Amino acid sequence: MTTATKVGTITVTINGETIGVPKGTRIIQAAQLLGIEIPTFCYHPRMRPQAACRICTVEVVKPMNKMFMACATEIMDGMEVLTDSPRTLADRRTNLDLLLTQHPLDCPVCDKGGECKLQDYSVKYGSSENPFETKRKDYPEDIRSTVLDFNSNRCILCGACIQVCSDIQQLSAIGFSKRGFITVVGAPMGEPLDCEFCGQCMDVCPVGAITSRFSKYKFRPWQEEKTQTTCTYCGCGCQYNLRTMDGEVSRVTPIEGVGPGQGSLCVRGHFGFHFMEDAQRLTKPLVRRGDKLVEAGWDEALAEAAKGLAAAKAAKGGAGIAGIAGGRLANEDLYLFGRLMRNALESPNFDSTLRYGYINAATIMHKALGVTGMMNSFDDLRRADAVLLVGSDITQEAPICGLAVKDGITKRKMPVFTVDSMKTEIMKLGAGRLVITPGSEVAAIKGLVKAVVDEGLIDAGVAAKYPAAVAAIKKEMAGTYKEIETPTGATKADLVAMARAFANADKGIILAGPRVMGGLKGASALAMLIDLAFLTGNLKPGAGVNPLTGENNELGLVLAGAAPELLPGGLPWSDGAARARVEQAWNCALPEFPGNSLTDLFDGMREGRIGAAYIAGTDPVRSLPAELNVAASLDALDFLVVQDLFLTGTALRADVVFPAQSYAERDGTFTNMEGRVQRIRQAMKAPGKARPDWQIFSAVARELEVPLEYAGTDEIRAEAAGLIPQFAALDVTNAGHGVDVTAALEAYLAGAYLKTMDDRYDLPAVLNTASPHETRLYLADSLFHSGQMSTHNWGLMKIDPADELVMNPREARKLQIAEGDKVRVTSLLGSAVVPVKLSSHANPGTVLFPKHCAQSHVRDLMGVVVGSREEGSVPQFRFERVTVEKVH
Amino acid sequence: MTTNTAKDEALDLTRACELAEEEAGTAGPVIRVLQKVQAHYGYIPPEFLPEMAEILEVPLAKIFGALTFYSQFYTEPRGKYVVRICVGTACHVQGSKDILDRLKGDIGVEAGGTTPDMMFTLEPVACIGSCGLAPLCLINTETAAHQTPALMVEKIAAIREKESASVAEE
Repeated sequence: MTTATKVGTITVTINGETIGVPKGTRIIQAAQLLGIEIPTFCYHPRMRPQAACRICTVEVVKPMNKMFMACATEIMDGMEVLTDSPRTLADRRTNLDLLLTQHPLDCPVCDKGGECKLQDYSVKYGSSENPFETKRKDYPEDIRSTVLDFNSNRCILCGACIQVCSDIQQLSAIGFSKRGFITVVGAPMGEPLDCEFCGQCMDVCPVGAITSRFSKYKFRPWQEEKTQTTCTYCGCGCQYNLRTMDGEVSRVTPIEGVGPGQGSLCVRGHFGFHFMEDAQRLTKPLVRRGDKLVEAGWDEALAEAAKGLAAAKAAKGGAGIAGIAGGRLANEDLYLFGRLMRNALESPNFDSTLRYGYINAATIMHKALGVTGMMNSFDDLRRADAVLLVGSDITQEAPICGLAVKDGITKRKMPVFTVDSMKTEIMKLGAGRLVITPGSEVAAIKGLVKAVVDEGLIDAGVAAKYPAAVAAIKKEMAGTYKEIETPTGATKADLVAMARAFANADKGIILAGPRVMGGLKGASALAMLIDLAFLTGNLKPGAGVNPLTGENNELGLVLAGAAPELLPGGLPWSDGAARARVEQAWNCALPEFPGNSLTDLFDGMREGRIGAAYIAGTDPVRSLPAELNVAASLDALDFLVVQDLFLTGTALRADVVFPAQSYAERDGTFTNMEGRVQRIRQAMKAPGKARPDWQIFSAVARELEVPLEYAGTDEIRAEAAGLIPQFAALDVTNAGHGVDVTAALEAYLAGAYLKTMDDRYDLPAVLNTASPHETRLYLADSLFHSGQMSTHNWGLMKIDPADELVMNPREARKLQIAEGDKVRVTSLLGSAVVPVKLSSHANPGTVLFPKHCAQSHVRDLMGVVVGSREEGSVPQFRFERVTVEKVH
Repeated sequence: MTTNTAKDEALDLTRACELAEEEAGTAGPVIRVLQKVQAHYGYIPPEFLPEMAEILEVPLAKIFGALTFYSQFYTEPRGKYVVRICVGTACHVQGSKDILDRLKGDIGVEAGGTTPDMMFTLEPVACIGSCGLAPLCLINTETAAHQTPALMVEKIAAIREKESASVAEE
């Protein structure tokens, strides 16, 4: 017997090896610590044990002699367990024999073959002589859903798929029906499965009962190559294996226990792997000849780009050039793009998709707390005492962050409070909800702060330690509840109840979504949420305020300083010392003044102030509404360089188009919303002559005779780490970096805090009051799509073509509109005809249209109001008033 | 059990929704609502299930799982008179199979079937739990102890007579 390793309070001996474990540990967990494998079908480390499949049976010899299920049995002190005794092996063999009386032996045509637990265990524990009579099932395979196929004949009824859907995804889209031998798993009512298609049921299936149609018969597991990489669709930054066969993507598989998602994936990550191989990918550089873009060699295109940019610089100075970056780009690309713009081209006009809202998170979080990104990690969310979620349909916008919240709900009944203008999925699971009038988020947040102040819910420690700051906030709360109830539609009682419940929690985490930062008072709204966390004593480790990102590398944009008011490291441009550090590192003088923000840049193009632009990884022509005149602005330029994966609406207007490589074709890193810098790795060859973005920036700089030469992304990141300390260590969250919130808060309270209070709590005017139209149209985020990349996936487009207007079913019935009917949506700016989808996601009086969808011109119905400089100059175009009529 | 045999009319789900609303927010409401709805309508109309899921905020898959698990729930309209013949061990020994076979012929349906006029449903059940009364039958909630094929046929005939008389009165 080996000596006991004491890591807990009780001891257990398994197969003669003794280990100390904490009370409550189950046999299977202790075995894992000892490196002893116990077979499982229904057990999953992130779910509560079901003890349904019985394959994990082990023999306990002390304190009693009995067979137990290793997954569900908690260890008693001094317990002795045998996992490979003759009795255990005999029981396991019988279990397998019984399963094989039903399970078909169609392994040669089963996708699971080679990684099937039933196959593996049969080899290891089974016998060749089955004493039982076989009785096979003969159900037709259910191939009616768009991606997941159900083969009930192969199903061993372990229930893992049902449990992952109910406990982790919290959707319960599938369940058992009937009883006994004829039990089947599937969608209820015999209908085809129509769910979020996260595919986790397939991932946990130990056999081949649930398979993906996108990958069917296209791989054999032992022939695939697998590459761990970071998902490119949203700011969660999930890790997965991108699997390829003969250079083509065969599928995406999760990695249990690794990364922000801990092994969970959403539909985009799991099934959106077709865009890399889309026939429309750009494969060669293009240059303009008259009104045509023609293919060219790299040398020719690079020389032409440099010439055009240099000409604009000569004519109008560095400030005559605009650079616009998108969050598709990797950290190293963005750092180099910034250096190209500010150092090589001497332009202050470097902006990005941060301007759609997250810029407010970048400036306010830094100013108030010295944090870039989230204060908390997804793990903190799983462990919080309460969560307040404002202005985010989290399960659609950041699905895996949503799963972290759901995990707290399932495992610890964590109360989740939501404030939003849409009825979201997470609301159904939450402890309290305020469904408010679209656009009234600021008022609702103020209402919560007011309730905390008026009801005496201020944390005693905070009140004693920071009386001046508390008094300054209190002074702003003099108004009546009426001024909050009117715009929001929420009552005082609702606000007080929610504020009270949140304030009473020890560790309360606030999550702020795009409808907080992206509003006309986005900076103030986030500042108010910081006030709320401050007053309730939640600016401490394990609690805090967290802005949620949209694009996958939005935080990378912040760290690269991809906005005129930011420097590398996400520091404010106004920070003279930081500016000096950048100048020293780059051995240059930075432009003297901060540049123009996105909408100013477009104005400048039309007014002739801006002569050339370099746009990489974003398509402003198709992501902004017509009222901003983006196309006309770009047409007014003397010279436009566009760098992207596809020939976008923006690229069509370019003089030079560079084909970029996707995340799957190159190395680099993305920064997720928690602040984790995570690697992407080359898994396949790029199409044609596409190059990684950083190499293109570097080559353009070379042509401009400002050499920015690097051997690879690691070298760029090593240089950048001098200015961006977050790049020094990979895969550490902000919380993991041990951000000192208290010190930052002290500094903030001592200085800027009280000075900026003046108009923070002034409520903004209600949007679009001049419009005679009464229905509120909101451009909403979709779970299935995020734009350019997602819509080039034939798979995701099959799951969700997403060009439908979402209407409330009851309201539609009143207007005699049925699902699939065409309606005309009219705003002051025009009208568009779109099909209708009915869903209670939309409240009465509100209709939703997917934000990413540019085909139906609904975006062009949106009026634009640009926020003030203090509020991030965000172009607000996601709300509009419209009339919806049926088209006959 | 109050039965509603109006098969042809478009089904009014108002009462079912009310019954669900009464239980919304209580712990484990699914079985109770299914039972109450079945008590009112005689069966559980499948078109009610999505509404029930919405009202109770319980996933449809869970409701459907419970519904199909228990043989006490029916998803098709049943006869005004549900005739249950116990075929449990004690009743079987006392000859319940003869009663069942005789009634199949007399009522004119197979086991589990319902007559086209929605009058009778014939249903063998595993055990009613009153083995001392074997062979035992149930007509709706009324028990009939120590039955023979002839006695049951008489009872069925009496019901037919009563029903045709009430039709004549109308």
